[in-house]
Amino acid sequence: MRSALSKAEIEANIASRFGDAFKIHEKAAPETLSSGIAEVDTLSGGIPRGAITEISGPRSSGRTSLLYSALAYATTHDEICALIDTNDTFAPASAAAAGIDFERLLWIRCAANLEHAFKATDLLLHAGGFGLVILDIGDVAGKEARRIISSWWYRFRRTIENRPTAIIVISEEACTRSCAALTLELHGNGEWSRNLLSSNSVNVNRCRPFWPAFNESQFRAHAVA
Amino acid sequence: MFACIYSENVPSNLSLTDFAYEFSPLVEETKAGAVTIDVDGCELLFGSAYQLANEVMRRAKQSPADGGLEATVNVAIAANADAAIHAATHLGGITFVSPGEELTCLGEFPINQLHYDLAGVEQKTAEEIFETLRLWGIRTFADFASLPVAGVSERLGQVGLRLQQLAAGKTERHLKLKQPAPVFANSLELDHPIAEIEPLSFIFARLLHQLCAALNAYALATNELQLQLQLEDQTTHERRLSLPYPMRDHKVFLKLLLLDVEMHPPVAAVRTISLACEPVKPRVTQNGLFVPLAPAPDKLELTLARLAKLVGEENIGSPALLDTHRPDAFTMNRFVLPSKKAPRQSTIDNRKCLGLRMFRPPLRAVVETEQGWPTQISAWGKQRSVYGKVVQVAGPWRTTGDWWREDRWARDEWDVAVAAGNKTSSEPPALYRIFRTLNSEMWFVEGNYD
Repeated sequence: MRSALSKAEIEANIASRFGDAFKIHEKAAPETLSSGIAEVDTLSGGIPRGAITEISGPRSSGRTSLLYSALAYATTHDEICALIDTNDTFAPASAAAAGIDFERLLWIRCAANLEHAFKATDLLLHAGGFGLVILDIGDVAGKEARRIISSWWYRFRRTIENRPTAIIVISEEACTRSCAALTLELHGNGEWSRNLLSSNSVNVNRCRPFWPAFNESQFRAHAVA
Repeated sequence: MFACIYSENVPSNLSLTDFAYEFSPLVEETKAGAVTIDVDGCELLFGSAYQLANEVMRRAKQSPADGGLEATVNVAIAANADAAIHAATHLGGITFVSPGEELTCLGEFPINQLHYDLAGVEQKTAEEIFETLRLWGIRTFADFASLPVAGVSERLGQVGLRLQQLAAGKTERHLKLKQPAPVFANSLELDHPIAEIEPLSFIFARLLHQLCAALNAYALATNELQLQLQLEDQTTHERRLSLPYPMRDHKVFLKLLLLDVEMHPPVAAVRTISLACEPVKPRVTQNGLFVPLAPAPDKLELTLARLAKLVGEENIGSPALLDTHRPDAFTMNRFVLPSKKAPRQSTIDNRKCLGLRMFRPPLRAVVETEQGWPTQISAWGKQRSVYGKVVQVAGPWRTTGDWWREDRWARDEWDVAVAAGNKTSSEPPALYRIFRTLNSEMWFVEGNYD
């Protein structure tokens, strides 16, 4: 008790000389980038810059719709974006319909080589200057995705810390663990009208950070001719 | 002191300028048939000005094989370059104009023989002034030089003053020296051939350093590097590195060159290395405070080169759609930082399109049909598989094209919802695009709506 008091006394005595050195600084809210979908932005507050965002879900859950929407928003707002396409699944025609400006998109096809995908992501992040970097491992089997060593995610998180770059990881099962600042889990349900696939109704669950009161949202991705 | 060499009968295959370089390195190509040289400091080589002039005339008469012109030249030496030019063009043989006595030599020349272009005066203006002077009764250089300066300035302006100074032999100007055209190329022949890349990098570094120093000296940059390697097997390995922006950083060039050589190594040991570049003006950009950050061009080029080495050149770039209805037709363009564009309206919430994930190559499938409608699908590939009962179907949509080509296509497309194969699963059905080729009647899964 005596030592605690004396510590407080010492701090009080030197506080006037060293200003706010003993104050606990609150971390400023991160800058965000819009996902291009109002419902998702309301739920998540946007895609945080300088941090990893993970979007996971099974096939047809709406991951790609959300990805194209975020890319369309970023590329039309002068951001330079990069897509690391592990399984070569990016569809330019579908992306063009979503409004992506291809001049501002660097597309890297990794021919199903997961190691190349991670090395390419690392090179891009170290080059700096990209507004949005997307690592698409959505077609990598869950078993393989779980084997990705955590050091990659820590490395990515550390590299973009305090930088205006946002990373989105598209996966089938959540695999970034505690390294993601925002984790969204998606589930979709196809909607048919008059024997035509009209839209995909997507449920968005925010798993991290978790707020019990407001944790779910929904949007509808429409099929285009 | 300046010397002007003038000749009207120099053979067309010989150059008066090259002849003048034998006497001084400071040469001005004044006009056709006339060159002016700065002879200060040439005394140790040629003696006095008179001896120099004699030497010029003697050598000019010699045959081309002996370094001559086989022509008669006029030589005039004066303290003023313009006075020397006037004396050489209007007086034959050797003329020596003493400093301060220019008018004694040039004073009797008619006023219309004044080389007005030396004072930067246009022909039309000069002719008007000569006409005015003729009306005033001014006939010679001496008459013009004797006019009061203030009066000439009032009546003929600054142009008149410049012409008066030219006539008086009082102009002061530097020679417009003929500069040899800069060469941005370097070459090195090796004593022993080199087969490995690492030792080559030291030579590249040296050659690039010299190239970039030359570019720097002329305030230029380059957007193309040309590497030529003469190989031991008497072949030539050539590489051309095109850069989207002009640069002159030898460290960046070295890394780019090494990455390129690693991707495209020479087939034999290297005997001679030649490096050249195309000089262009450097890039000047103005960044804005509110413009989002973009990668630095030199860093981006290095990153792209490293990525190309990692995943292959054909797998990196900006996608571009082709002008065709062929499914999944696109091309990869080289990724270049786009120029600044006008701000656009927010597209938030405007484009919630259903995305498609392509399966490349399409997944070969076995499809059970009932009255032509798919009911069951099973497809297995190395990376993915699709199997289950088709619970919802839309289609078919027939597309055909390029019937006149070998790679024509004709197919029926369907959108299907496939329930998970596992009956206990509560997952909603996944959505796929499948197609059947009309010529081979085979089914494929093209992609997954996601």
